[in-house]
Amino acid sequence: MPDIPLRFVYVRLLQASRELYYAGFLRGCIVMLLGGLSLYLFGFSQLLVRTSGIGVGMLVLIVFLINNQRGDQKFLLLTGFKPWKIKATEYVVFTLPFVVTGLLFGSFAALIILPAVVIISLLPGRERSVSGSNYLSDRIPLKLFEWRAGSRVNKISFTVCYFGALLFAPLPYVSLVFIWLFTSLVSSFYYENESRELLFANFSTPKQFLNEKLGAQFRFGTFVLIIPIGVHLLFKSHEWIPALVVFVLSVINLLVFVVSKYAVWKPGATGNTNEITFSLSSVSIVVPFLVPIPLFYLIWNYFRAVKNLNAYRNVNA
Amino acid sequence: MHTEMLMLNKIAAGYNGEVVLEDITASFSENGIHGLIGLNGSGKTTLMRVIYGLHKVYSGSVKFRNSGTNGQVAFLETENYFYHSITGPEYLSLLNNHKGFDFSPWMRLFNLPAKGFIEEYSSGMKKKLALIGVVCSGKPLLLLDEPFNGLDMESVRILTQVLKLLRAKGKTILITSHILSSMTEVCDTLTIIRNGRVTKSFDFVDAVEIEEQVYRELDNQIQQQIETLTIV
Repeated sequence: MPDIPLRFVYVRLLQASRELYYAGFLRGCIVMLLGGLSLYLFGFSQLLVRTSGIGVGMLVLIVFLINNQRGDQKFLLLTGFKPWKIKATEYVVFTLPFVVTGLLFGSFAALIILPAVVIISLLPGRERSVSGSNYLSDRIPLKLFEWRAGSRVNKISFTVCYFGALLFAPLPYVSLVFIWLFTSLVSSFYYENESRELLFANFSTPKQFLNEKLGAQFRFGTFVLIIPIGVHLLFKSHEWIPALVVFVLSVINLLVFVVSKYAVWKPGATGNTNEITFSLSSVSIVVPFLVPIPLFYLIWNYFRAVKNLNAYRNVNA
Repeated sequence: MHTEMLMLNKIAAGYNGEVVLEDITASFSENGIHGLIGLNGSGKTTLMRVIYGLHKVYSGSVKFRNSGTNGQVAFLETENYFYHSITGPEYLSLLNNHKGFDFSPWMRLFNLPAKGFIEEYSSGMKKKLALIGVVCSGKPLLLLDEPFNGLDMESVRILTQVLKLLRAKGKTILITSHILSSMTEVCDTLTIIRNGRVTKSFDFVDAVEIEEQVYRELDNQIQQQIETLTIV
């Protein structure tokens, strides 16, 4: 690879392929994923043709949120390159298929994507606050510490997605897209694992622990999501079917995040071994034939989580 | 009168078939502070992990009050994990399932900030926070692996006093440390582990005498290796 920024793109692709490899059974799903991706691209291009502004805006927003979540600024500085050059290369390479697809379908608005993502790359990534105080986050029950911590780290994205869903409620489908983005953002809250002490503080059996955790997640997730869905339906009551689908799948996904986290839980580990699971679950909301995937993950990972957590109990008992 | 609270009976354990602990037999009385010392890799941490139930034994058994250790042990590991973007008090609130434990005075005693995320704590502060977490569990048996590591002088003194208080409140404490003076000041017994075996145990008689014996024992351990060194 001739240049550091392009090498980063290459490394990202390697990371993705490595993740697919370690995902085990998922190798069998790759073909399905590629098919889904093609359909998604096609659907996106159609969206560009009919409502170019919204399609381009959503893609730019996604890149903005991804950039906002990045915490690798210091690492990028180690390369000796300006971080924005590396990020701009990544964003341009990965949004290019969407731009090309848009152009092929006659949507010249897609050209806006490239300068927009370059501008986004100039913005700093995630900056952790030094203060523990944050009005919204502090209102989240401490039991759901993943939400509390995640909403602090992703303060801007969290606020933009949630209040975007409320503010754009009068527009067709936009609230639903914001809810989708919001749920995808919440998946990132489940990448870091808590300490053993934290996990076992209120633990008797893996099933009891998981059921309580899922119950809390279900109650809170339903409460959080039903507000923007309700507001949206006040303005667009005829969109009740897609709204219901997004709501149900979002709640299922929130449960998938919990069981998937504990299916691979290791004390204090930080990683993204669930990235593919979370991505597929998130994408399933907009790609209809992927809908069974989160349901499958919910059941399969529940049993994996029970087995995994059992392994961390007293092995000599 | 002290009774034998923790009994280790012929414990053998290791990693990937390599034996780290070999035939460890020892007993520790209740309401006491018991030190484990040994060189790096001697098996101290593995022994603690076995007692806590994190590491499977090849053979042997761990008995606590004549039964298993389930739910009876709290473990302060050498490396402490928490959770990102939560504050110290939030972390302790999540752990604090033992009613009646007020962690605020502990936070003040250890000079831990009530605001600010844990990842912004120094390593010593994290150690202290983890220690409060162990104490607030209310478990009768506390395993402390290198609790003095990374602590400043004042905190070492505080910890020493806290350990004595815990003993007075009926806790049984098993502790490892590289700082022998801290151990001799606070421990009732010292056990030397060498190559996965208990080579010597001391009851508390006199700190100076114990230190001399421990150093002599350690010197014996390393003497043969010292003699093989080449200096140019």
